[in-house]
Amino acid sequence: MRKFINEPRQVARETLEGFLAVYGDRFTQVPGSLAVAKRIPADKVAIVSGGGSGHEPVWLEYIGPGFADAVCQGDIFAAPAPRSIVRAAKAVERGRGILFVYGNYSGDRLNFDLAAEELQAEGHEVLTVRVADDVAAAPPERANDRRGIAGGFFVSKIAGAASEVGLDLKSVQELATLAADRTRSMGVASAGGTIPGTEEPTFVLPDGKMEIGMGMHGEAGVRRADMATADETVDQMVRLIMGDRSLSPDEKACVLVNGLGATTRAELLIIARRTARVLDQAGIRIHDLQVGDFATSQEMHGFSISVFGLTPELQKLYDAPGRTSFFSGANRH
Amino acid sequence: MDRMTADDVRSMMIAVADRIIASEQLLTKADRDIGDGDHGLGMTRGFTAVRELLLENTYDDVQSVLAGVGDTLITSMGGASGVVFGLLFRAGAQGLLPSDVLTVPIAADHFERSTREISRRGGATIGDKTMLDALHPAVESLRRSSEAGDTLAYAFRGAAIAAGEGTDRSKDLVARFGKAMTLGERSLGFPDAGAVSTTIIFTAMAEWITANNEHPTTSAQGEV
Repeated sequence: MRKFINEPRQVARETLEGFLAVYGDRFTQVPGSLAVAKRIPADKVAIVSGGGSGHEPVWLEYIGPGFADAVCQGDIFAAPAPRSIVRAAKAVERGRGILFVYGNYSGDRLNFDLAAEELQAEGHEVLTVRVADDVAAAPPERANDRRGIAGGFFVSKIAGAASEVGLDLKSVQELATLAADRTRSMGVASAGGTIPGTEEPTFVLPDGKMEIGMGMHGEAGVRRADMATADETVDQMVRLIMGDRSLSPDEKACVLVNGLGATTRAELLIIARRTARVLDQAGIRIHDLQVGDFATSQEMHGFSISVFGLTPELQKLYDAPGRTSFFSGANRH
Repeated sequence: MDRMTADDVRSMMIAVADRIIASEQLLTKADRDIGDGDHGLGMTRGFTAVRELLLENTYDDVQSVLAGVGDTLITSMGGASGVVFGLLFRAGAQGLLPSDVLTVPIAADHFERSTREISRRGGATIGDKTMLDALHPAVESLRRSSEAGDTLAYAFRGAAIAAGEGTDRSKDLVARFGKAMTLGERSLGFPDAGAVSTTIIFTAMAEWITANNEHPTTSAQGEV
């Protein structure tokens, strides 16, 4: 084992404790759960996100001004239980309703749905937006089966901003759904990550191979291919992403180049360089380009590219102030 | 034995918890083959909490035992398994009137309701390579036993065998649900880990009933 951890079963809890050691002035743990809430929730629609831990900064660090008001962690790669979600939601609900934003996985759906029913039974208004941006997970006609990966960043950004400007629950949900509908992502990996406490990586690739379309838990992708250069790999991925949803000529895009855990900053910048170039060549106007670890899978070596097509209203919300531990605002203005 | 008291059901469920906890490594391996390998850990966490609950409480009706087990699994496990196995015990109990005994017809009604609710919420159906591929045949077997007037021991042994056969058949299925879904053909040859757990649960129930057949109202052996 090469991880610098303590007892494997305590990894999720100790990660949260570490987050609070750094950001405890603004956030506080929700008693009896692996959830974190804003210390002083604003009078607005409460945005609540969550899911399995082990993908940091997802979802733990998707909290902040212009982002989620509370986040709820499960164990490594396992959805949080309904009671934790209910507690997290109640910690930040201010009578304007609750919007759940999470990735489209069966475990998350089951637990968040039970939590929503419990909250509704107590008189709270709850709506849901599921992120399903991974074009590799299922063909377009089965888009509801797609997984949520790094493109969830754009959905969180829009949901948070829409809530911050004071819109009502239904409007916030509609805008976040629009953002989700206009976001497409794809990942690639050359080596898998290992869940703390287990000996084997979640998947093993032969030397010199990469998996195109790899999921965040090591789920298989669209095809296994020989390792290629950064430029060749980016070209393939951009083709697959744009083939799934092309952008209209007047549509600007936000682009995220995301590291999956063990990819160096240099690699990500090389990938960003090519991504920007091929999109430019395709005539797409890039409104913002983000690079970094926004959604990881332990020490998976790989990256994902997400493309988010803007409308004028979404652009305004994207440019509105918003801040997390890993994001301080748009890089291009 | 054609009826069990609430205390019998409590003792039986402690035996089920012990068996799941003892199966952690087996379940971890089954899940790692085509999943992310956390099923054994989650089930052990859930049934450890169930064991604590049952050792600390007494019950007047069967449905309270089963709903308590289900609630505890949902609360303590997380993940898809927490809800699915929680509903296996809770959903059936919710729609039924409290009864002070468990009979084969009540068991058949309970698990039939649970199966419907798991399918409705999860969206999976039989043949998707999930725990339903073990649960569905087990429930059908219970229903047949209910109509035939079988004893509890005979009915649960039949259900356990049907669950095991369903689990074996799941090896030949391509996963169409959950994290194994994207493995496609690569999921062939391995059973679904949830189906393995379902079989362990029904087998442990059948064995407890068989072992306690002669003294249906006494507590489980080995209970501490």
